[in-house]
Amino acid sequence: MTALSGVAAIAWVGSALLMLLGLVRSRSELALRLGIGGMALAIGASLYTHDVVNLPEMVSLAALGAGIGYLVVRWPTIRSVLPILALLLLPIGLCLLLTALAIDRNPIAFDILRPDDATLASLSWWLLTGAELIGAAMAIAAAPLCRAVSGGRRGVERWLAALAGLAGWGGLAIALLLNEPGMAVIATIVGAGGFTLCAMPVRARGD
Amino acid sequence: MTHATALAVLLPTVALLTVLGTRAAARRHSRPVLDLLCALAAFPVMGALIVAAEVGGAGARLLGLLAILLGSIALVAGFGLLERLSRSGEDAG
Repeated sequence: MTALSGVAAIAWVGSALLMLLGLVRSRSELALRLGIGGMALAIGASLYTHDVVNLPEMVSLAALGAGIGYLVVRWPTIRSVLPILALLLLPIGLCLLLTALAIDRNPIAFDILRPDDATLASLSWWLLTGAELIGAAMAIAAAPLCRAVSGGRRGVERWLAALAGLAGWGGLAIALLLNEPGMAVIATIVGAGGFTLCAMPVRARGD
Repeated sequence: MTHATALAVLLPTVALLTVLGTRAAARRHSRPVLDLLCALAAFPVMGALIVAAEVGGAGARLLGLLAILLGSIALVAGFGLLERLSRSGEDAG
């Protein structure tokens, strides 16, 4: 991607605004709609700005993943949402890790390695390694965090916010590697939001 | 990184706006903000879509497709759980 098209730019700005508004107005019922709308717009913009060569495989696996996700949502014994949200950081971390590994295995396709270069530039190497480490850390920490949230330990919400924020910073590394400014903005929203919540004082339960 | 200059201005501004907005919202009730943030944390699926759309090698393509599978599980389950929560009004955390 060399230049951002007008449609893609509008879609990226719109999705970032929707997500930001969703976070700010998170107490209202509209917040979830804003978040879903922002995410749908961002995914549409991602696909619009690229030549998709594996569309059948991508759609199949996205549909399979959506089906599994739907089964998780419909699981009848779920009593509390927060531990499941904590556990969902495991697939998110693995998604980050696998994406970074895919870029690592084929860096020429994303212009982070020229065909006549032997090794990655220093910044690209750090971004790639950072994304891999963050993805691995999230995958490792998600299950213990889920147990801690289930146990109702005081202050564990801050760790959950920090881990969700880490997904933002890992995604930012991927966005910078792929030269995707729209994704970088959304990553910054998630990263900054996570660390802001993490840094806030612990409130009483039932908040 | 052709957009480096624009991003150098844009990203700190977005981060500042997010910090101010999140602080204001979480000062009243932090749980809804945290719930939505956890659901939004599934956004790396966008990176997976971009990578899987463009890679040519078999190994890299497989990794990209697996990333899409995992990311879409987290995306649908995250927002679906919040939808279920908002409909039932249950969950004390």
